[in-house]
Amino acid sequence: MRFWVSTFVLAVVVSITSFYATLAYIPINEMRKAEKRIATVAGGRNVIRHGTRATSKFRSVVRPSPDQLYSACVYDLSKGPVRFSGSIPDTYWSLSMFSHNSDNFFVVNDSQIEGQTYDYVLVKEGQRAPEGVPTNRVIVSPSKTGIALVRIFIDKDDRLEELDRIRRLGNCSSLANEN
Amino acid sequence: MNSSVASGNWWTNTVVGSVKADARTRAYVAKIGLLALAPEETTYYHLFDVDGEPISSDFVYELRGNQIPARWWSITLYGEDHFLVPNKENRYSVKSTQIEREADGSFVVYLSKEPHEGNWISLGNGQNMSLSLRMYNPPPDIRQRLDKLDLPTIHKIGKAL
Repeated sequence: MRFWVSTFVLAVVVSITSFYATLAYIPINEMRKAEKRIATVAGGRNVIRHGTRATSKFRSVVRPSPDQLYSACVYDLSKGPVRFSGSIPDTYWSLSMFSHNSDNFFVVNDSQIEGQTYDYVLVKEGQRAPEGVPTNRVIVSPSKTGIALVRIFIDKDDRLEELDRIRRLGNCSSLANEN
Repeated sequence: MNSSVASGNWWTNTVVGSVKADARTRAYVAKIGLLALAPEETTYYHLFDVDGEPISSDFVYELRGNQIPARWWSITLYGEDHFLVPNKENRYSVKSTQIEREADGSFVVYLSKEPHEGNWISLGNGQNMSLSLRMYNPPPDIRQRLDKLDLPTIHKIGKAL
């Protein structure tokens, strides 16, 4: 009797542990797949990819918005900080950062920035930003790799070309050689 | 912890994209909304059924709404695979900046397989489809009234031709 009770308890513990381990693994695995897909089309990590407007042929990330222009960069801080800079249009714009476990640990939008340009440096915990970068322009990532995403709301369809031109001024680049 | 909140047929999650999200929410968001923003930045509502049945191209639907509290908003249709539904007109969504409104500021959107006058989203040949409402820069107190918002209602108004 004691054997069967012990076996049952063990089975329950293993099942619960496996369930939560699987839950924890899913976002990491989905991020890993997304990072790989984006880096492949961008030509590497720390390279920005200005995606085309989403249609039904778009298959990179689920539930894309056809009313936004997306630019994505898979960042890798292993060799040094990464800089994000560019121009901001007069419609909704945001720069958001997602850690390796999918947490949205940073976001800034057009209404929170004065002027029409942005310039941020991303570092990992314990990493120093280059000298001269204001502290309010330094973002700390909880993970070594992740995804940065620029979203621009296409407020009017006939502005697509104009908005696309503006977002293509955006860039992400490693500062590894500048430290 | 149950972090899902319903407002009519629409539901949202209070911790999407947040570092506070529990393991179950993270896993779910990773599957159907990877790279979603936190609710303070963009609030996402999803609608998966109309009167208890999934959205189908076999029917015609009417979606009616008023003022949605956000700086910008859009409503987009997704297929069962969570990607945009193929249709030759590329009509996947409507948005606040281009929607045609009634005199009182309200709006009506038709969802059907065949083109429809006015605001129209194509259902293509899809089945088991869903809608997402994105509210960009919602009011700061949005978290306190996620279940009380005046969101669009949707009803089946007939069979597809």
